[in-house]
Amino acid sequence: MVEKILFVIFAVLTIIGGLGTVTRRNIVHGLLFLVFTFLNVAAIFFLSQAYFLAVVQILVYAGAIMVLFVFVIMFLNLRTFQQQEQTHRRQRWVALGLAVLVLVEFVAIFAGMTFTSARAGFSPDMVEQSGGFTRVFAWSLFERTLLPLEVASAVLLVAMVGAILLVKKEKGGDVATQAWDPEEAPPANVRDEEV
Amino acid sequence: MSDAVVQLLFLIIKALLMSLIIVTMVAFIIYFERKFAGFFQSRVGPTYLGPWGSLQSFGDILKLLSKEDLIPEQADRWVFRLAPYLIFVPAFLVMAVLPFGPVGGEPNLFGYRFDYVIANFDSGLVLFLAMGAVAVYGVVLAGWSSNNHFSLLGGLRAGAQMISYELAMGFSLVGVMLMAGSTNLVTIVDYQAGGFWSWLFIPQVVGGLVFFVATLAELNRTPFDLAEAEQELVAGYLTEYSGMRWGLFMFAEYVNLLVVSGIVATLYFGGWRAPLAVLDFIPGPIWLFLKICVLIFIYMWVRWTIFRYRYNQLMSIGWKVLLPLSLANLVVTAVVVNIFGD
Repeated sequence: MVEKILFVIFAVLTIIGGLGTVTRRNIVHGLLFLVFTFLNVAAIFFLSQAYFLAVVQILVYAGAIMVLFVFVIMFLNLRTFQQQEQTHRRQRWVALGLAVLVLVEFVAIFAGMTFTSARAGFSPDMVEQSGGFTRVFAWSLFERTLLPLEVASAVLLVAMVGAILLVKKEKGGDVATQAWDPEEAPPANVRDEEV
Repeated sequence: MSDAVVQLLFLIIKALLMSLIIVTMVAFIIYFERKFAGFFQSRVGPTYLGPWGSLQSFGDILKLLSKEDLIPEQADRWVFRLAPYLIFVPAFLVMAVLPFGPVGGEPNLFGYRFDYVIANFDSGLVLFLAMGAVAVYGVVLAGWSSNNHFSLLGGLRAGAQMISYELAMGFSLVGVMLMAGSTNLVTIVDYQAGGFWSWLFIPQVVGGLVFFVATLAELNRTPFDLAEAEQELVAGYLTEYSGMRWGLFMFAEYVNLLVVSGIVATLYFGGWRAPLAVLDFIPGPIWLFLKICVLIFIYMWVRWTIFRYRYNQLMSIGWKVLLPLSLANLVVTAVVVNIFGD
């Protein structure tokens, strides 16, 4: 009973955070709302006794990824963003249609799902007996789904390398296609980086 | 009374007591910091309020409370007000997973089981890292919302520094996790049972040192206090803060010092366990308190002895020295645990 009430509270707060994220004109406020959303999702993980997942949610999403966002936005002069006019007004109907589509998909998937099927046969007692949630989580990640995990990390690595290549190309024309020559003298501003 | 009600009561008592102890300890940590700073610099430090000036911190709190609360006109008012709490709350949360005595086993208090930890939590060590990551927001947003160049530079520096050193910190902690086979702080302390030779600072000496240096940076203390370097940035991200809001930042800084000392004591120096079996009659909380005091003294010793690094030196130490060292420590520990472990 208490868990259900808490779940409703955190679910409502998550939705408020999500709405705040898309409605704030000040980007830093929007980001803070997004962090707030992540924290509430972590709280829902806590309620489901997925403690490790909850903490990792805070560590990775709220702690690492969003801090980088905040960093980038702080480097830009974001106070000018507030006065900017929305130019793609017609897009909002397309966006609305897509959002409804995604919602229908989610409902269709989750309607056929019961809690036992989502747990993949794990009960709280079983988790307790096999040495806590972290151990069970690690086992299912690195034993049962090792290949998908490695493939996913390789895909992410490819995306990262691709992003770096894109940035390099923008900066200096054809730099991306040239191999980096270590013999070449570094630019003046890099030279005195050494201690 | 049923066991669940009693445990809930214990929980509330533990949480209140812990907060009270933290607040009192921080007041005296600040006093000792100033006193030690005095000794290290051939001064006397605070002397007026109370015996040897020991009540100075309480006087300071009264002074800060009565000061005017200024918010710059161009500041982002909401974020400016929010920032102190974003540093303050995570620091307190970590104390919940820190064991200060035996956990589990036979009933030990009026026929009920009293666990000497607020939350016996499976991923306590990861929680410590997560809270460290969240605390970055406080610093960065304080710098940004003040709308002041010095503040912004201080916030950026602090953010970059904390993100860089978190990596080395996390990797050095994996060594401890591998050896104890758990991320639960209670289990890690139990692993170190049986005298000081089974404490983890002996096999994990490299990881421990990396962790210690990384925490110096995480705490923004000299030699890594670039974020509030007085000579170049006025007071960094604290420049526009005044009164009790400034006091909250200071307070959080020392709560963090206390928490980090507690974590170092728990991970590498056996937590609440006595160094020798003969000394077991002294209760666990007192051992933990003594270890924390010694570690806090070491942190102060470093702060008032070593000079501040230049910014590029700070970054190259983090990325070129600490990170490879912690990775090497991780690889060696993993191999050794895999070969000789059970």
